[in-house]
Amino acid sequence: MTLLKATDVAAGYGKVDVLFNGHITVEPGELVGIVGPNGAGKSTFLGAMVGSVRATSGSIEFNGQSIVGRKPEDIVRLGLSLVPEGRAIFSDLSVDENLRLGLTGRRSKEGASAAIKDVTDLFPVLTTHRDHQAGMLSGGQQQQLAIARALVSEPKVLLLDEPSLGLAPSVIQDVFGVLGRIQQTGTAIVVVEQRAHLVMSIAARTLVMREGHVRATLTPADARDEEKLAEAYFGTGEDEA
Amino acid sequence: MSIESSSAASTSAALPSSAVPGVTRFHWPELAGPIAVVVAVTYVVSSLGASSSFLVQGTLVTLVMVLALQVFIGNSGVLSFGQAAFAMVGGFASGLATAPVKIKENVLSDLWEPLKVLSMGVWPSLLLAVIVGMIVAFITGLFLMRLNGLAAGIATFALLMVADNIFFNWKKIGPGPQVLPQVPKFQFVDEALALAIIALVVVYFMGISRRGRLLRATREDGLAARALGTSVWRLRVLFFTVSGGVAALSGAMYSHHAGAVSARDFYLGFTFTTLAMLVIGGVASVWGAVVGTLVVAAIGEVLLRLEQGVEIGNVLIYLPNGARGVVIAAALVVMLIWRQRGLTGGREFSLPRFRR
Amino acid sequence: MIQTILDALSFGGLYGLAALGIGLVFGVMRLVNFAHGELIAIGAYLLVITVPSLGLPAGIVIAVVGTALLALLMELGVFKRLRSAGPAVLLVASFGVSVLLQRLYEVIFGALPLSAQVAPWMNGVIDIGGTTVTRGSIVTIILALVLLGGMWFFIDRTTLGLQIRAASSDFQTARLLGVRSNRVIGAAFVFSGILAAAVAFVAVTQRGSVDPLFGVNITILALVGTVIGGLGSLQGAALGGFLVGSTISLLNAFLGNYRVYTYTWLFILVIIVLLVRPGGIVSSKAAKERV
Repeated sequence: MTLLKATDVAAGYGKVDVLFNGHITVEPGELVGIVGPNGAGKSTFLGAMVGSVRATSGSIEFNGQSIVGRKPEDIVRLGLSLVPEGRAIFSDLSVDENLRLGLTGRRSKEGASAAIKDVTDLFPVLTTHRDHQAGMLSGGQQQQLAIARALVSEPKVLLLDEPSLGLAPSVIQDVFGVLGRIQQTGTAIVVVEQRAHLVMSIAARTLVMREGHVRATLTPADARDEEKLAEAYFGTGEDEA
Repeated sequence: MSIESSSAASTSAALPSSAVPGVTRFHWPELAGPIAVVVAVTYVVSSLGASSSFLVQGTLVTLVMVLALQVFIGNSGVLSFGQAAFAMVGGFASGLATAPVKIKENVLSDLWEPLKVLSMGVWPSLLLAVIVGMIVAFITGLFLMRLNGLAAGIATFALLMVADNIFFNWKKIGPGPQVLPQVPKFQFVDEALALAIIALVVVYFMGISRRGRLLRATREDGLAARALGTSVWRLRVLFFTVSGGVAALSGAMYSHHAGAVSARDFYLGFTFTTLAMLVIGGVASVWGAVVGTLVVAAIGEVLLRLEQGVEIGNVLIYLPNGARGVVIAAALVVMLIWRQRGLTGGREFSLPRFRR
Repeated sequence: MIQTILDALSFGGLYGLAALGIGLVFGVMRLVNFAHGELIAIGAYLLVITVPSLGLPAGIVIAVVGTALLALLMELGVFKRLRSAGPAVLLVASFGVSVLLQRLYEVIFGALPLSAQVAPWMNGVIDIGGTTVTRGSIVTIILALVLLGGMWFFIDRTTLGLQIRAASSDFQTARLLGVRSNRVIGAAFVFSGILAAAVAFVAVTQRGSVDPLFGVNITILALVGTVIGGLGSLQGAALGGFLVGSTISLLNAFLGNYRVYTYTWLFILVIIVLLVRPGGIVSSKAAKERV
């Protein structure tokens, strides 16, 4: 059964919609990418999925049940977890406390310590800095913490909003390298990125969004097709909205 | 087929907005409506007798204060608890300037000499009050207007506390804990009415002016406000200053209404009542200020009568003492929850539109 | 001299408790609860009404429960419906609730003070190593230490406390992790109610009576403490409250005449702190954005 399915989702802030027509399907264990320029509505789309942005229309189903209008704290317990843009770690709290907060979203209290161990195995740097203030970590380490924190609730689908933002290239390699291992545990991943090349080669499918609409769906093969890429990204030949 | 509003004195579409300074989009019913309502209420209620006339006069004084709040809070979107401080300043300035010199010499012996001998007519003293109020508002505004949202609210609250502390204790500039008595009263309710109309006109034009519209734009969008930088600060200082002047006028009017003035006349209760009136009526418009003041004052009067006991048929109905205060406070809270924009929805007065 | 120091410490502790009560709610909701004073007042009213007939222990239990319930009621009845409102609306709302409660107390209990000897032994003196000190000051200090210590333990060592800290830091992200917003906010209100009850106990034993405006002055000063100590920081709030309380106590003891202008200096300090360092004395990086 399709894990996550969104159709015709519109969402925005206040009276203004930013996303008009979002759709996506995610099967178990898949990695799906969403790319597009600034203001395309990618973050809004993710926000609508987890309930932190109000969806004004459309349907979002997780494991067959509709989750539109539900609160973020309930959705995470269903198994859909978001790592927000800019990492959003609690800088005043310690790394350990940040991780423990991630446990709040678990469906059951059992296996909590095992979960923590699993993520610290994935990201050894977190063990080193276990009791340090999270705000003192480097950008890359904070990104790892943010991902680890979301993983601790053992989500079925992990949403990542621009994980490469503000990170040095070598660090980005580390972070993206981990994604494959996460997939192996059976967790599906949706990665939103402005830098398409990071995602396209590893994603089963990549959606290209522009100005609130999904314009194209590309496969890894298309990643080498410059023309197709430009068409999707910039819409050459179409009128400006 | 839709019909355009017939009353717009609009600018030519060809002119860029910067070529038209000051007033834009003046719709005369928006100003005439509130004025007409205020005038009508004043004369109708005054005709009922001397005590009713006194009541209306008091309501007009409060209306001016609510307008003072409206011109600042309504346009800038920034909350201020501090206007009562300027009312204090105005009340003292006008009261001291018009109270008999003999009284000042006997009752307020610690008063600064120039203030003791200061003497002028009521109307010049009103002007004095406005000027002093604007100066104080300007100076404090220079600092306070750098703050946003919550910080502004707390800082202006602090301003009120400071003003109350100073005016309540410093006998050199005012009566201190005492009451300043024998302030000449208004002879006719028309005087207060005229002043209220002046305040209405000033506040209305401030609101629809280009600067007013610019300031309102920053109200909606904090990011835009930051992007505009110092201009926002300057606009806020301007509107804060005008607000201070109008508040001072209200305070001055109060002194000639009650015939006496003291520091505690303009403290938390006064701040609460006027703020409640504005919120209930609608923060964003002059019509909201008028509606809020009249509605709350009217309800307050009805409840006051009920507290004193009213006979309906053979039954004496009365509310417990203090119920009136509860109802007004509850009305404010309910309004915030249910309809933040107030009774008027923040809209100005408009004539019913006729559709063919 | 010893008494002066003890007075300063006890006053400081008292205002630290009051400021912490305000700070707790502010942390999770960015709401400055003017109505906190009315929580203190209801605590005092309950004590005054129940202690003479039911005895002190029962009276205390009733006061604590009653105050916590009122706090929860405030949240469920008013503030919960204003979750998405901006800071200005929240501020006006809390002002409104505060005045509403004051006037309700006037209708229910009357405008005149109600007196009762809640704990007369508080006003007695005890002998410690040769010097006589008031029991009240000692009890207050102990009470403040116990409560502040208890709160510290709760906030720092328990899961719910961790959730409150996270919610205070970044409410939205906390929700993304599964922190139940309503539960956390409700807990903050309940604890602020408990702290208010403690303040009520000390204050009403000192004053011997309660009236509708009982909590107003304490709240205003506690608010000063919260701002000076840093909006958004719980330790800052407690510390700020402590400083304000102990400073006022010392000023009263040493300055005599000039204390009339204490409020002026305090509030000018508030304005300066807001202008220059909104994070207050215990400042953290994120403080500037919060206000």
